[in-house]
Amino acid sequence: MHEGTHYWHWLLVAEMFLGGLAGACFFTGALADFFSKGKLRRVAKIGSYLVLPSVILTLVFLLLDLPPSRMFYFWHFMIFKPLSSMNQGVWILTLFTMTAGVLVPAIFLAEDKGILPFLKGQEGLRKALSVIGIIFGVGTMGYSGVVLADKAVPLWSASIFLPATWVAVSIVSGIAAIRLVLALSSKKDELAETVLSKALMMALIVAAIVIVVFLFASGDHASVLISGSYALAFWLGVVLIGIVAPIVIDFAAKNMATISSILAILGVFLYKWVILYGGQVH
Amino acid sequence: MTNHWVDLKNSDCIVIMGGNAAENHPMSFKWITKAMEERGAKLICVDPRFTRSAAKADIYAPLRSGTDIPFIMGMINYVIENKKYHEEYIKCYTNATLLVNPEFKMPGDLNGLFSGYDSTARKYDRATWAYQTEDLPDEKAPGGIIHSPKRDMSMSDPNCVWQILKKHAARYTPEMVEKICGTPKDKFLEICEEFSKTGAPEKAGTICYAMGWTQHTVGTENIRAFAMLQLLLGNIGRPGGGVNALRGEPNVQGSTDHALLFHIIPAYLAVPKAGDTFRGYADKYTVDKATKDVLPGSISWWRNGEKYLVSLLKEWFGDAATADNGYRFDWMGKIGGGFQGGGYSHIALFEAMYAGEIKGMLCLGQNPAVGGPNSNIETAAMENLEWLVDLNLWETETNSFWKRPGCDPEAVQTEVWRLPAADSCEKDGSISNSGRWIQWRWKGCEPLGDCKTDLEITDLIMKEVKRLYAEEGGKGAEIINNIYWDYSGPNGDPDVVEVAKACNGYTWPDRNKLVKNFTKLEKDGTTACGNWLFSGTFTEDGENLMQRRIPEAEGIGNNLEWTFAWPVNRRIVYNRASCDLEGKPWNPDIPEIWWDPNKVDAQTGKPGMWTGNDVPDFAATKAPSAVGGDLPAIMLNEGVFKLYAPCSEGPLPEHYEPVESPVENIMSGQQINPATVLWHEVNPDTKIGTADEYPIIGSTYRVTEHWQTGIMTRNQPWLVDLMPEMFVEISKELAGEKNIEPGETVEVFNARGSLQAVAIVTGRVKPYNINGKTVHFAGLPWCYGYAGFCTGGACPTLNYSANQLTPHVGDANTMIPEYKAFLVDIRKVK
Amino acid sequence: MAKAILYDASKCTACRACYVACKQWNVLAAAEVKELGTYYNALTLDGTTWNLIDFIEKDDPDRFRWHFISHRCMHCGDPSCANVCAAGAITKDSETGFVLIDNDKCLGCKNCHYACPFWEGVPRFRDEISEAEEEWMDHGNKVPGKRVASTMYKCRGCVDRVKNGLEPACVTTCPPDALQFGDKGEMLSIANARVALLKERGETKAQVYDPKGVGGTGVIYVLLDDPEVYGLPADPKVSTADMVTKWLTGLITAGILTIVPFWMVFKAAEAEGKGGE
Ligand code: SF4
Ligand code: SF4
Ligand code: SF4
Repeated sequence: MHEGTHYWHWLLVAEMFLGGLAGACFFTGALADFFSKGKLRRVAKIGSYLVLPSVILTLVFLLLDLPPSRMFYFWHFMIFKPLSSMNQGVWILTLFTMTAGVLVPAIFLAEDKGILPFLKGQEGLRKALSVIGIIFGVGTMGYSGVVLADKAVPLWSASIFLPATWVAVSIVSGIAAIRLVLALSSKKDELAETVLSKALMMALIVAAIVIVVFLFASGDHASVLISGSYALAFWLGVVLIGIVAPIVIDFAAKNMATISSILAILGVFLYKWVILYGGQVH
Repeated sequence: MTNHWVDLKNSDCIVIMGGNAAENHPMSFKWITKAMEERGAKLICVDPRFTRSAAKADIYAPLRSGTDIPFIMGMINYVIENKKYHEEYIKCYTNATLLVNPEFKMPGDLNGLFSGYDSTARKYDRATWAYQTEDLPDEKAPGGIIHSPKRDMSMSDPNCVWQILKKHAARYTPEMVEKICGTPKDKFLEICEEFSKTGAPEKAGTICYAMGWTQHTVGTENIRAFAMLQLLLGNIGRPGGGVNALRGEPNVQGSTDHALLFHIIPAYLAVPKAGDTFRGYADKYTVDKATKDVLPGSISWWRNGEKYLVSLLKEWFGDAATADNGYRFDWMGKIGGGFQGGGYSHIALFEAMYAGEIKGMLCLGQNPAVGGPNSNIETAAMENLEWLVDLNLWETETNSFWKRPGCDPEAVQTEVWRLPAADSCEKDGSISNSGRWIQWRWKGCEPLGDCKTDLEITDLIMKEVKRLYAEEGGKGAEIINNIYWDYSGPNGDPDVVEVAKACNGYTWPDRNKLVKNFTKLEKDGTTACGNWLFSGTFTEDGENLMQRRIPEAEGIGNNLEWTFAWPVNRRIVYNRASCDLEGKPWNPDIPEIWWDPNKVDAQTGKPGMWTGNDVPDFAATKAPSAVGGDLPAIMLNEGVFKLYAPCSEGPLPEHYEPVESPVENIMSGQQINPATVLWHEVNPDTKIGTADEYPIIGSTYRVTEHWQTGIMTRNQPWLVDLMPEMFVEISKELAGEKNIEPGETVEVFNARGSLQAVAIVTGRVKPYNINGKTVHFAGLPWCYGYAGFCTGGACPTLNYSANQLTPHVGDANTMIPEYKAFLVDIRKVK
Repeated sequence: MAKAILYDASKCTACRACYVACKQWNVLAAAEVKELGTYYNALTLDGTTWNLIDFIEKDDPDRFRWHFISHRCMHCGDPSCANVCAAGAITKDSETGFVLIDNDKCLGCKNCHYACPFWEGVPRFRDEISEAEEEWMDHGNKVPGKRVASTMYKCRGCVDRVKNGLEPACVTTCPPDALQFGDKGEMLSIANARVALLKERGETKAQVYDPKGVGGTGVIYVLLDDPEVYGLPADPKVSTADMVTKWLTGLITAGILTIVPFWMVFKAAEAEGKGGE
C-alpha cells in the first residue's frame, strides 16, 4: 500500500558486476591454466591482470555507495562478524585482492617485465596462491549474491538460487572479458580464442539453466521480471542480447569474438541490474 | 454529562450517535474499551458515515444526517411495542402517569403540528400542552398550596403522558425509519433489540453524543428523544447510564457553567428580560418552583434560586447591593428580543453585524471566521465593524478577516487590535470537564513574550474602563463605578485563586469566611457567590478541593477524592433513581447509593440516611417511604423526569427535515421545524438552496488530528502531517457518477459558496436509499482556513473553509446552527 | 527479563497519539505529507517517523471493516537487521530485548533495511540531523548513541524511558490502552486472554501475532484478521536463516556446474598442443 523505499541504485550494480568480473577472470584464467597443463598460460595471465583494476573499481563503487559523510568510516566494516554476508564479503574481497589481485599478477609480471626479479619462476608459489585465489574468486563472485539473498526482499531471497545465478553469470562475464582482451590485443592466439568461445557458450548455457531454475523456484516473486515492470529489460536485455545473441553469433560466424563478448558482458550487467531494481518494486 | 467519563466503564451497552467519540473524544475509549472488556458491554454506532468509532463498534448502522428523531422515536416505539421498558421506573420516576390537558393535539392529528401553532409568528401557544392540575395543601409552599399535576398510576387514562407517548411513537414504525433514515430495517431492529436489553432493572445503557445531535434545527429534540428512551429503559441516574454530552473542548462545560451563553447567567439562572423586577424575577424561583406543577413532596431545588441570585449580585456589586434596592437587580444587563426578534445567538449577532447594527467586537477563545456558519456572510459582516479586538495565540482567520481570499484589504475600514494571549498551559486555573469535574491545572511555563492571560487582560480592561468612568463619567457610570472588582493576589496582580474563591462564595460583609457549599448561601445579603454550582470547591479552611488527586482504591469509579465535581462533589446526578422505591440499588453489583435505615444522622441523632459510593442527589435523610421519597428529579418541579416536556417546537419530538433537505418529509405536511427562525426571509443574502440545484447532503465534522477551527493544531507540524489538507469524503458510487478519482481535487459548492478539497473516495461512505431514492453524502472537516502554518489547500482564490457552505439557520430553542445537514453539489476541478 | 510492547489492533482507535508522542519524546521532525485522498496519506516509516498507523478498508461478507495497524520495529527475538549489519552497529539490548542501532557505528549502507522482514524494511535512512536534535544532544541526551546524519533510524523502544522506570512514550499516551508495556510473558498472557475474549464476542479470526520464525517479537500484536490483511507476513523468517544453503548453491554452481565443462574444454587445449606462450 505504501510507496517503497528504493535505496540501492546502479552504483551497487556496478560494484557487484565488477566484483563478480574480477573473481571470474581469475577463476577462469587459473583453471584454464591448470586444466590445459600450462597451454593456456596466457589466458591465466590476462585473467590475473584484470583482477586488480576491477577490484579497485569495485571498492570505489562500494565506497561511493556509502553516504559521503560516512564513507571515510568504512573501517567500521573491518570487524570480524562471520554471520554478516557483507562482512564476509569485505574479508573475502581483501584476501582475494591480496592473492589473486596482487601476488599472482606480481609473479606473472616478474616473468613478463622483469620487475621484482626474486618472484620470477616461483611456479610452486604461484600455483598455491592460484588455488587460494580460485577459492576466494568464487567467494568474490558469490558474496554479493548472498548479500542480496539474505534479505527480506522476495525476489532476492524467496528461492535459494540467487547466489547460483550470480556465480554463473559472473563466470560468463569473466570468460567474455578475457576473450575480449585477447580479441583486442595485437597478438592473436587462435587456440585460446577457440577454447574461450566454447567455454563462453557452455557458461552461457549453464547460466541460462541456473536462471531458469532460479525463476521457477522464485514462483510469483519473479513475475516482475517475466511480465512485470522489468520484463522488457529482462527478455530483451538479458535473454536476447546477453544470452541468445552471443550463442547465435558464435555459431554463425567466426571473427565476431569482440561483439559476442561485449554482448555477453552487457547481458551480465543487465541481469544484475534487473535483479537489484526488480527486487525493489513494491 | 449526567454521569462522567470514568463511569462509562459501568455500562452494559454504549450507543455512539450524534457524535464520534473515538475521533473527537479519544479518552472516552479508555472507559468504553474497559466496559467492553470487563463487562462484555456492546458498542453501537449510528452515523452517516463509517467513522473510527464505527470501526470499534459491535453494530454499526448508517443514517441520513438530520433524521435522528425518526430513528430514536422508532427505538422508543420498539421498546413500547415489545414491552422492553422498565415499568416500575417509568411509573414512579417519570411523568408517564401525569395527565395532560384534553385539548392537546399531536402531529398525527394535525399534519405535523401540535395544537396551538401560530404560523405567522412561527410560535406555539402552549396552553393546551399543560398538565391537568389540582390544588393541594403543602405547608412548605408559599401560600400553603401547590398546583399539583393529576396522576393516573394505572397509566390508562387517554390523556396521561404514557398513552400520549404511545400514540405518538406508534407512527415511527421500523418501515418508516428505513424510509426516512435510509437505515436498513434489519440493522435498525438489531440495534433496538440490543439496546433495549438495558431495560432490565439490573442493566444500564448509555449514550455518548456531541454536536452531531445538537447542530440541527431539531437539535434539542434529538437529545430529548434519546433522554426519553433512557427514561423508558430506566437508565437515568444510574452508573453506566445517563445522557452524556461529550463536550468538544476541555472547558466548554466550564464556559456554560459560567454562562457564556445568552439565555443564562452564571450557574444556569435564567437571563433577566427587559422589564423584569427583582421581586418578579425572584418569585419565578421562590414561588413558581415551589408551587407550579409540583407533586407532593417534590424537592424542586430551584425554589432556592433567589439565594443564588442575591449572592451573585452581592459578588458583583458588593456593598452597593442591599435589600432595599433589590440588590441592584436593576443594574444587571437584561435582554430584549434581539435583532429582528431573533435573540442574541451567534447567527443573530452576525446578522445584526451584517445589517450594520453592531459597531465593535471583542473576540476571544474563538475563531468565528472559520467556525461560524455561512462564513462568507459572517466575514463580510465583520467588514461593517468599526473595531475588532481579538485575543488569540496566533494570527487567525478572524483577526485577519480582511486578508481573506477575494477581499480587498484597502476597502476594509475596521480597526483591528490583536492582543497576544497566553495558552492554557501557561496559566493556572480550573477547567470543568464533560463530567462536571472541576480540575485545577497548574501553569507549566511562563507565557511567551508579551502574551497575557485572559484574566490579566480582562482585569486591565476593566480597571481602565473603571478609571475612565470615574474620571469622565458617562452612561451608566454609577453601575461601573460600583462594580466590586477586587481579585488581586498577594503581589497585587489579579489572582485566579481569588476569582475561584469568589465563585465558591463567602460571607458578607466580613468577606473573609468561605462558605461550605451552596446550602449555606442566603437571600438576605449575608453571602456573596459568583457561581452557586462552584460553591464547595474550597473548604471553609481554604483548601482548594479542585487540586485533589487521590484515585479511589475501591469503589465504582466515582473517585470522590479526585478533584471536585459540581454540584457538591456529586458524580452521577439524579442518583436517587439508581435505587428502587425502597432505596435499594437496581443493580446491587454496582451500587451507587442506597438508603441505610440504621445510619445515624450526626446532626439530628436520628437513624436513617442515604449513603453509598456517591454524594446522594436527594435530601440526605428523606426516607424512601416519606412523601416525595420516591421523586428523584430534584431539579424539576414535578420531582419526576419528563417524558413529556414543552419546548419551542412541541412537548414531544417530531421529525422535521433539515431546512435544506434532498427529500420531502413523509411523516407529515410540515417540512421543517415550525418554530425555527428563518433568517433567509429576513436577509436575502443568507441563501437557502434546493435539492434540484444541489442534490447531495453535506455535513461537517472534526477529525482527531485537528481541533475545532484548527488554530491550535494547524500550527503544529506533527498534526499537519497527519491531516494536511482540506478533504471531502464521498462514496465510490458518487465518485463513479461524477468521474472523480481518489486524491483528485474537487469543488464542493452550493447556494452560499464554494470550496476546493481533495476527494477521499471510500467504502466508508455509502449512498442512502431514502424511500426508493438514491441520496448521496459529502462529508467535510471544518478545521481548515486561510491563516497559519497549514491553511488547507493551495488554491489562492478560495479559502477552503467548510463553513462557507453551511446555512444561517439554527435550532428553535438554542439557535445552534444547522452545521450537520445541508445541500451541496460536487464537481471535478479541471 | 525480555520486555514487550503489546499493540492491540482491536482496541486501537487510530487516534495517532502514539505517532505524535514518539515524535515529541524523540525530538523528531515532522514529515511532509500531501493529502492523497486517504487518512494515512502515504505516510511511511522514515528516519524521523518510527511508528505510524495504517488504515485498511475491507468489505467482509458480513460487515464492513476498517482495520488499524501500527507500523513499527517489531524488536525481533532474532533480529535480521542486526545479523546482516557488517559494522556490528545493531545490537539487542540485554536488559530489555530492544533492538538498537548505534548510529556512531552505522555507515548508512542500508543492509538492515533490506534484511528486515517487516513493513517493507523498518530501519530507514536519514540524511540530516535537525537543530532541535543537536540542541537536545547538547543537553546530554545520547541514548542509546548519538544522532548521526546519513545513518539508519528506527524505534528504539524508548530505552531511555524504560531504564528509568517509565513506559515507552507511545504506550503512555495511548488513550484506550491499545498499547501496553511489560514483561513479555505477561504481555503474551494478556494478549491470549484478549483473543479468547474476542473470539467469544464473535471475532472468529482474532489472533496473537508473535511470529516464531523471527524468534518471537518484542512487539506483540492482537489482530482481528489474518496477518496478511494488515500487511504483515504470515510466517516471517530470519532473513539470514538459510544463508549457508544459499552460499552452497553458488559454490556448487562454480564447483560442479562450471568446473566440469571447463575441464572438458580446457583439457582439449592441452591436446591441441601448441598453446601457451
Ligand atoms: S495511541 Fe493507541 S489508540 Fe491511538 S493510534 Fe496509537 S495505538 Fe491506536
Ligand atoms: S523488525 Fe526489522 S528492524 Fe526491527 S528488529 Fe526486526 S529485523 Fe530489526
Ligand atoms: S517505543 Fe518509543 S521510539 Fe518506539 S515507537 Fe514508541 S515512542 Fe517511538
